[in-house]
Amino acid sequence: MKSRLRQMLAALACLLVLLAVMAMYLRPDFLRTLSDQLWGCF
Amino acid sequence: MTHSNKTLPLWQVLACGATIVTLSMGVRHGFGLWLQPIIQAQNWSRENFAFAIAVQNLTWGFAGIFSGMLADRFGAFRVIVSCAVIYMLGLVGMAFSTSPALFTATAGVLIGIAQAGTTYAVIYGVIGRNVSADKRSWAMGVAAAAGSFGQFLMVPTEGFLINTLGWQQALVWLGVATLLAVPLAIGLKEPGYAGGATPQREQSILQALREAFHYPSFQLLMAGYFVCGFQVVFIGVHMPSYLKDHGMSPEVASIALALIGLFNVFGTYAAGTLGQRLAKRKILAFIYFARSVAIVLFLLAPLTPWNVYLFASVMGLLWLSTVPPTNAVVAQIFGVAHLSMLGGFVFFSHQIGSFMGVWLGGYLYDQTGSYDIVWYIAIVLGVLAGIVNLPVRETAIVRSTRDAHA
Repeated sequence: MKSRLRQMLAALACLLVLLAVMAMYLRPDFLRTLSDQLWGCF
Repeated sequence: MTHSNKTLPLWQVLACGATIVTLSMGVRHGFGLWLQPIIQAQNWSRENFAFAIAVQNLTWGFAGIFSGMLADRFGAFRVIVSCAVIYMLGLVGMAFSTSPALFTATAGVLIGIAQAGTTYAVIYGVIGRNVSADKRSWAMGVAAAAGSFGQFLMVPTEGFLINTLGWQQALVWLGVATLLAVPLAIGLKEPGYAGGATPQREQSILQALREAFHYPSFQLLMAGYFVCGFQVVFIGVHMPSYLKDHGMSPEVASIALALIGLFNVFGTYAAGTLGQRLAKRKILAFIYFARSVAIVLFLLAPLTPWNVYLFASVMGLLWLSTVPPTNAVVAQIFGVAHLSMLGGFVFFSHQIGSFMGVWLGGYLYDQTGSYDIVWYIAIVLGVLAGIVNLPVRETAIVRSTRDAHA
């Protein structure tokens, strides 16, 4: 039971980190930079 | 193979190995962000930059064979430490290169070599030797997910570094960051290689190679991995251009690439975990078939931003999910004595596929004015890769004493 709870907490922590990184991508200034860079390649 | 029976603790192998892969895979994944600043500052062409990155990819694949051999023979620790230093030199060299040739030597050759010694093949060798078979595929999934996370994390991080420090200083600081792999590699110092010892193995390198290349399942795995490289790099590099041609806004391509990165983390972990319960050849076949189905549906459906995001999410789940099952099958069939080297050969095939995907994408676009033919090739290759993975024999190869010493 204790290890299951630990696993769930670890999974939740990983999910929060991933969502935080996703939020970095969605910041308008970074999204614009990334778009410019991508489009600049073609 | 007669390695020492002592092994490293599981948590130590995973924590150190996964962090090294996160760093190593992550740092080079954001190199596209340097294209504009470098070519503007140095007054070079895009071709100069692209050529160096193409050389890096091929060097990574080719050097992987030899770094794998060295890691199997002398232990991963020495290879990782040497390659972390080479990584730092490559990044600093990239920052201060004054000519395209020097840029190719540093960003291309040095970083390619460094990648070969700090990514999957070498880390998987340590996992193979130190994690029991009943947890190996899962552990490989954890390491692959860490690499995927590194790719996902480092693109915005590097964008932030370029904006705050400038492109040159950002490269220098990334170089310093890659040296973190040196203390982490201490955690991967295996008891069997202590004091410069080299473990006795029942096969020489040549015997292991002869055995693998004469074994049909190894050839089939290499063929499948070629397709993985072809599809992933074609989509990663050419999809933004495809979307642009169809009138999508630039933000759609950016969000699509971010979604691929996000779902890639889940996909690699899931593939490794499932590999512990299901036949890995079936997982691999499913991944390749599913990619083909996803591409067909993407091409048939109306091109809207939401359909692009859905496609990117599905492809993200299938992106590097081939990595844990492919390497776990190699370990299962041939054992772990030459795992890094054999993993290096399989990865070389992946990199040739990557090169073909990016090059053929551009070539056929120039010839025909569209990506249609390359999409069709990607679909057919996916079906073929699914078919060739089905007959792979996952059981351990049976060696007679005569075979082992031939």
